[in-house]
Amino acid sequence: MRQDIIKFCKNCLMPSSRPRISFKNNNLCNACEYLLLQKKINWKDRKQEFLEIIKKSKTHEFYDCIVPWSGGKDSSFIAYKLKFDYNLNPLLVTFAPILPTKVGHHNRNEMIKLGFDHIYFTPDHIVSKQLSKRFFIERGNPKVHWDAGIKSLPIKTAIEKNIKLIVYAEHGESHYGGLTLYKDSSKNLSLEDVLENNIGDNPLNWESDEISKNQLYPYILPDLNKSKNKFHALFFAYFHKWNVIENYNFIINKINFKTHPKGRTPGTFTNFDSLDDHVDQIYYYLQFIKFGFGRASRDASRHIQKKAITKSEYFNYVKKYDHELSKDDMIKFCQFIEISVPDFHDICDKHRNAEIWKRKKNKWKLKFNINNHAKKSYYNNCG
Amino acid sequence: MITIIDHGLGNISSVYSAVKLFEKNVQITNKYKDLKKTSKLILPGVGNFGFAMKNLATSNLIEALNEIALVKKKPVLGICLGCQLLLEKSDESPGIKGLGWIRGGNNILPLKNKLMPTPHVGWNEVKILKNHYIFKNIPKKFYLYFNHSFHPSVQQKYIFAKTSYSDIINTVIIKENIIGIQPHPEKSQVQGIKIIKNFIKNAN
Amino acid sequence: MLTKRILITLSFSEGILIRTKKFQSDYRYTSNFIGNKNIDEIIIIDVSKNKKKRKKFLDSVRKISQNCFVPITVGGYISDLDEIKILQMCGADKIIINSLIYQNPDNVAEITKKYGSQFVVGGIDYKFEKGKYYLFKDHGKNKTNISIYNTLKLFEKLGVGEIMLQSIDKDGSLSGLDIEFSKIVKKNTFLPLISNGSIGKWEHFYEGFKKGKLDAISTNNIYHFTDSSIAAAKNYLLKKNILLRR
Repeated sequence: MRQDIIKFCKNCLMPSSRPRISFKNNNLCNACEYLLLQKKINWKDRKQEFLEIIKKSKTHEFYDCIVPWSGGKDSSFIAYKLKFDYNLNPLLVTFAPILPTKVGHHNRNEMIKLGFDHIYFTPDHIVSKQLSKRFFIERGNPKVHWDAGIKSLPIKTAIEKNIKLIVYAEHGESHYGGLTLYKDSSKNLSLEDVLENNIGDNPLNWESDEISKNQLYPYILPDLNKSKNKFHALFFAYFHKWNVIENYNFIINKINFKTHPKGRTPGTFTNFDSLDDHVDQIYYYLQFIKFGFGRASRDASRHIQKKAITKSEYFNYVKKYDHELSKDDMIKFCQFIEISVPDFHDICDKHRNAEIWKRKKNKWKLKFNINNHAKKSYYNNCG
Repeated sequence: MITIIDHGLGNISSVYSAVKLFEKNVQITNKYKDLKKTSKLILPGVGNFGFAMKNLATSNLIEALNEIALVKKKPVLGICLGCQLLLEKSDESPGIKGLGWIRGGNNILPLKNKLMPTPHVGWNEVKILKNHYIFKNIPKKFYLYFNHSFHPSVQQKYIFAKTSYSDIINTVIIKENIIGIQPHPEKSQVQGIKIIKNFIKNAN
Repeated sequence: MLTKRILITLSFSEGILIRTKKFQSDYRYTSNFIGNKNIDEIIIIDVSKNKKKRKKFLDSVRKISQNCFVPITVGGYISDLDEIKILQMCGADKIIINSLIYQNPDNVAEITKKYGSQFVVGGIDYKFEKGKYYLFKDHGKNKTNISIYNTLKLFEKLGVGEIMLQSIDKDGSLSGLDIEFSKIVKKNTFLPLISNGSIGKWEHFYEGFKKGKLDAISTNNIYHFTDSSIAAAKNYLLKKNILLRR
């Protein structure tokens, strides 16, 4: 994908600077193409397939499955459906957020009140801090190890307790633009996919002078070969029509689900998504720095895919909010990893994609302008 | 003025960058009139012995170089091919004469077995045999980056450091003001840069 | 004793550092965190055929070679003999070639004669299909239709100094090296052997050195490019008695 010519998907307006996105014909990104395919799906058949899998996957005497659960709208939606619609007995497994929020904590409690067995695992805070700092600096992503943990913990729990079935939410790469390693990547989770696309390298490699191999246990994935038939992780979104906005509307009717305390999540126009970790602010801000699209773009893309907002609303939100970063959360993060605020900004700047950023009057400006897209199909910058 | 000779073969920019760390007055040249102000001479290079000597001759440099090395006795550092050029001949280019500043010739590395392939490429251990300012602050055993198929053969008295491989390599050869080093100090990170530093700072 | 070598291979597309998957551009990375203190050598390859952007690639090479005191090998669509001097001026200590060997073997012989065998690394890109190995040129696009053995003899005849192996299928994966292929090549040549790609964990380096008998192994995983990652890899291997430069 050429980096100096930024294309935008004609449907969801996701830019081509997004890693692993591809555009075939009609300037439609692979996520929107995937969405089109969804319209042709017989959801009855898919649900039937899901029921059959559930039946033959029960290996534990008491639990039917594990639900990797953050307490957010999507995983709570799944937990609710499995327990009360499918009448299953799921074990909820949470890998603690790096810097848990009060809202996240509250929403988890509200869900637990409905009656669930729940394991909450907190990894060593000092190790988490060191890894968060290292990956913030080296990769412009302070959550790399957390990404490893949320996959590793449920799978290792499944193997240890002999609860074969694990129900994740959706395969991000298929739904939002990315690579699919295998034909069934949107149905079944593959550890190779997680290693190559989620994490990028093997957590075993993170052993250093500060962190011993033992301390990396929470992040290390089970051996690919040894674990092959010991678990089956699938995506709920493959078997049911998936809509994150509807998930939210559903869950707020079942529990006292709180949204962002400021009324709107900084960096976007929504208030109900990714609420449980203060580090998310940094994560999405860095996404903006590296690829030119922030949290507002991401949420607006998903909304426009579901036709919940118009293109002009999209442009407005992006213009207003994409570059925003919550000062409180930034300071919290800096205190957490022990760097100064100026150093924080220096490191962010080192991650700016030179193809899409320019320096104008001592300020950083994006070379492409989403608003121009309204007039032409591409923004062509051959500087 | 440190003069680095450009005989048309080899990556001179690394040598230049390394020297620049310690001395501002550095020139890269193949013009004999530039050689007058030379206080120290560096002969770098990667490539064919015969080609290099031909280029030196074509540029009319040999006489001027002889004067600097043998008459004015300025410090000279020959690196890799530059080290090989210091001698009289090389198996690589039969019949072609080298500068002949140190007696001896360059032999091809023998092909012993697949565990010691040729060319000799990579980091190998250097053992210092005799003291010299070129080794100041360098541990007795250290690693330098080698990349060659031919190596210098000289009398024992000129050998100051050696390395084991399919043959014993005379890693550093020194005769009075003339120093030859077969590996690439400018490509050998910390220890290699020290050697360059020692040549720039300590040579009288 | 000659140490084993750990290398990093940087792939650039139109001047931008990228990750590749099966030889296709995949993910963009910043080059601000590439370390050059602990690494033994650096390989820099231009994977895009866009001649207009060659200058951007050369600028990237120049930038990396500044204050870099380990050897740098540069390659990617080298077809022009005149370009060699330019590559050297940008910082190339060696070049790596593939297609040129098949397109114009006489040129290659000329280069090795003039610049020496030690200047030229020959690339072997391969796939494993239906039980057989096939070798490729043109950055994975076309089969060479020449056997492994004949390819090695050709390389030796032309004076190539080192060989670098790349599995096209495994490029971008974290699944470890194709040890079988390394063994076959090692059995049939006296030349030093490098392998690039598909390093997932440090154990893969160990397997490559011990079982594959490789002389050097390069990782092209962008997350291995920092000094801290290379230090961790070397520590792992040193504990397992692999001789490396510290």
